[in-house]
Amino acid sequence: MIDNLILGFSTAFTAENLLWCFIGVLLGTVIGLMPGLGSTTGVAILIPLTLTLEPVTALIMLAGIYYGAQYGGTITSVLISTPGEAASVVTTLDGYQMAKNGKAGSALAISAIGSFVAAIISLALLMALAPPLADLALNFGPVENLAIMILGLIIVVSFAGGALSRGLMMAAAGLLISTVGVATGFSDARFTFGNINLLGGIPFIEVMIGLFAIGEVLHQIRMGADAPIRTRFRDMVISRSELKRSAGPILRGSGIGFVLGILPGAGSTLASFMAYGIEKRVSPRKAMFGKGAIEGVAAPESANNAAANANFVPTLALGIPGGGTTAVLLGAFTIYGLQPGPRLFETQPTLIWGLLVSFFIGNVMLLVLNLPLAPVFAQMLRIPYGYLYPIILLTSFVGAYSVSNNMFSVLLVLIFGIIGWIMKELDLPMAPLVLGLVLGPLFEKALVQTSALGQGSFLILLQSPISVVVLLFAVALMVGPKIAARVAVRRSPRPTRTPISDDEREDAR
Amino acid sequence: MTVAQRGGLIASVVLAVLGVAAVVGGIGYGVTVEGGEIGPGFLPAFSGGLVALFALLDLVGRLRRRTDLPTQAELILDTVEPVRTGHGGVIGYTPGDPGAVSTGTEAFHVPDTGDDLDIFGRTQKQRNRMLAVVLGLVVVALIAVQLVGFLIAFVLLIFVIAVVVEGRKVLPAAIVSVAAGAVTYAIFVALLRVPLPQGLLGII
Amino acid sequence: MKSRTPLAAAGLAAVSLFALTGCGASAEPAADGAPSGNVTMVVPMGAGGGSDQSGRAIASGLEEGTGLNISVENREGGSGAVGYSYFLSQNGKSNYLLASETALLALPVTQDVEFTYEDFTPIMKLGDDYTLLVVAPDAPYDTCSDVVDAAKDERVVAAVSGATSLDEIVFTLVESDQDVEFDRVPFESGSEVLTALLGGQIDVASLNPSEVVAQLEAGDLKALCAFSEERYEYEALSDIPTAKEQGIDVAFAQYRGFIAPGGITEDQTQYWIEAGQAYEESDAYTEYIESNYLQANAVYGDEFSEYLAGNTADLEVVFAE
Repeated sequence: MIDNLILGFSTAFTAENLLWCFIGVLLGTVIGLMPGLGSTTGVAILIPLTLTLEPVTALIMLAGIYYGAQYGGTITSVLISTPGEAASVVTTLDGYQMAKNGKAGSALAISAIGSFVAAIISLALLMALAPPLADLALNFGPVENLAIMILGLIIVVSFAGGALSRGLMMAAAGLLISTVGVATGFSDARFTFGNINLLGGIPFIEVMIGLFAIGEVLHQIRMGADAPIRTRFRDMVISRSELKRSAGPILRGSGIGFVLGILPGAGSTLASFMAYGIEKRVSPRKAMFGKGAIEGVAAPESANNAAANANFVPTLALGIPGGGTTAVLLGAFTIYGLQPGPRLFETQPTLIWGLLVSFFIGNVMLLVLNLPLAPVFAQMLRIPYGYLYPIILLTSFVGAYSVSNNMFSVLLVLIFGIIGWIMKELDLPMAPLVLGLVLGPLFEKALVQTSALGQGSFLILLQSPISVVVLLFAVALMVGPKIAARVAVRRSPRPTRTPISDDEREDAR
Repeated sequence: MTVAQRGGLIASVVLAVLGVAAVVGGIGYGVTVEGGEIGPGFLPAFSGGLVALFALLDLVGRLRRRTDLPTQAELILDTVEPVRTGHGGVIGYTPGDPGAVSTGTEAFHVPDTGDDLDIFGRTQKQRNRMLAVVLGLVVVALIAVQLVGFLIAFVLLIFVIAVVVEGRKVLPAAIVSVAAGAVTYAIFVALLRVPLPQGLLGII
Repeated sequence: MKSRTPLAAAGLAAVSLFALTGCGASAEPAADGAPSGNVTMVVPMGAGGGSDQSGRAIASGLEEGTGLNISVENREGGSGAVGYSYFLSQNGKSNYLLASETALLALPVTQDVEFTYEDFTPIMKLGDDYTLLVVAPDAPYDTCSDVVDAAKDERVVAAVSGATSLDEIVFTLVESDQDVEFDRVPFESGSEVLTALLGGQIDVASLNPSEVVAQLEAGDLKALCAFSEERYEYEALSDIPTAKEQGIDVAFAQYRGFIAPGGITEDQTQYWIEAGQAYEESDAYTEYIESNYLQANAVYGDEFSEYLAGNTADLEVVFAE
């Protein structure tokens, strides 16, 4: 272990590797700043740039792009409510509100710190436990994934906000939108109306850009321009009490992210939503969630970063990509003439440990680069909105176009922009819709597979010990708060802000 | 009933209808396949049914809520959506003004501010017109893409919005829009080699 | 590991090169069917996948041989339908190419699309990607015939990576050849199938050699037979018998190749075929074939068209339900 670490550090700590790591992080951040361009696209498009480099150096640079792009997406989520990828949708909920309250600097800083802590924790776990964890992850087949998905949906329900039925309605609408196109395992084209552009479904990136970026711009025009946020530079720096409040959410977020990230397919989106949902349950300041709670930024940001690292567990130990970006990275391995697979740890120790250590270095660089830069990025909000929003329109539409080089994407963005604006005017929540859209295909796949494995019966869900445990946990989440609330009501004569389930809120009306 | 309340009702009705349509479509695709296994129509029918169900619940809730004021207990329990003060400060609400927007719950909390001007002294009506103009300009820009190409169309869009809609000075607006176009070109076309449509002009 | 000259400035130089080449679209008059200006290689799938890799490999190989400037464009969507439809609209332009694989044949058979292979000009098939039948190392099967026998009286769960994917086609062909039935569980990609197989959720899978060669070497999986015409020549795969040797008359490959738009002239077609032949002679070609464990059966032009016609007939049988 120590030998391996030394080997790793001696590989990664050359001037050349450090330089390329830095370039990767920088390029990645710039790419992540563009709506629609996430880490997957960023890495895939920039692979040709790395072909002249040594394999280790090339992979180090690609990993830098990976981390950089994720952080770039966070910056736009916070500043202009435009998530770079589905995993940062949750960040917009409180991050954007913080920015509006003049706390953009804190939001960006806590994302950088949270991501860093999560990265270090998950890297340590990754280095120590990758092979055994990978074997454990293999036990999660379609049945267990279905159980996880059910758990995820229940947690989402739990933070749908004040009006439960509207949150559920939007989540269901997201599921419904996800059914457009050809489903897993079938060749029937659904709801495509003969349009070949719809055969592959409605991609969530376009929906996200439309709902969040364009929807927000249209909403702001209608609300009227506000004075550009003017805060002193000093106020942009994160405060000690904010740091203290974020410690718990960061640690919990890292844990949730790491666990979900190991499972191939479950992914970082679910992790970030779950981390937020759980934080909202346990936080003493739950009323602040959705209005600019720093915990609501710290938890999902840590979770998605931990998940991103944990994604490498199956990638490196089994040769099976855990997510979109790791799949592209695996593709890069073969370009450099390396065969990813279970023996990579034995056959290429220099490369693997060099790469793992470079993840560490990349995260340190990201932190060093972004802590001082967070207030600077936050100054972007000083641009008069009359200039800012046409520029947002430009980057959103170009970003959407570049996802698939198709004008149809641009049209989709416009349509969902108008839908997003209407939703904002009517106070319909957008995050559940995006989650429904992202989970939809995964949920359907797990359903179809489970039903095929069980030959039409879902009793198979109760035959797997793992899925039984997960389902029991889900039931506990549903029922637990009700019991807790009842106990609390009995103890105190006056209703307080103790946990109370959304069902009861509905009932109270 | 305010515009927003009516809008909310209409949205729920539309979603309910879409949901029912999806159920019908899903049944058409086959909810199950041979052997009782899940078929391609299951999720459309399932999610469509949920959309319709929750939309109807929402509809009932909205119709009922209109007459009930939230109780003090509900306010303490945070069961009512908080007052959202957006970018433009407190959201105004004037009964009878067709442009005013407010959700059902907000109407109970937000005191009528009466004056509804933003920092440039623009009224709600003017801002509604701005929104229509911006949307129209975006559509025009998308059509112009076929003609002058993607980048030129959008650089012109930025310029026109800044000058005409937002009343910015011509020179700074020109500098900003060209700079934005140049940065976009550098990142998307030069670095990432995205084949942006060049239109009939075929310049960039 | 090959040693490469570590040039710290190379990447930056490449960035600025992109900047220069991005705007230079000079239109030279065509001679001998050579295309004028820059050439675009359309990849009808997203960046990073198998089609993307082959598209980029072919583009750089042809670039080397012809001296042309070939850039790759990903036009993804609809499992390839969007890219092929876009390509259909480039009719008559010989400076467009498309990195093609079996989706070209499967889409017209299974979906309502406006193209078939006959709307395009087939240029070169680089090689064939067959599949291996793989099982867990402790599975009670040693040959593909064992699996078929087992399927006759018990439930054998086979994973497929899509309703129109290569493994689905292969399993259907085995079923009709041997008159048995496999229970299918659909997945979305080869790597998902691999996960399920390693996790013991499914019994058998039919995967491309490049997807499983590492697991085979590590002993995490065993290969029972190859659904190919002949045995593989690669050292790691040469011991695997073909299905035909075991009495199962099934061999079906996914091809990798490139096509040009329809409506180009005879000279232009010939130009690309010659460019392809030059590419076949190069080291780049060998490297691509070997690193992806393909069988190098290059065919050109009309012969490629015949191959496509034959496979389309097979697919129509498979999907005629």
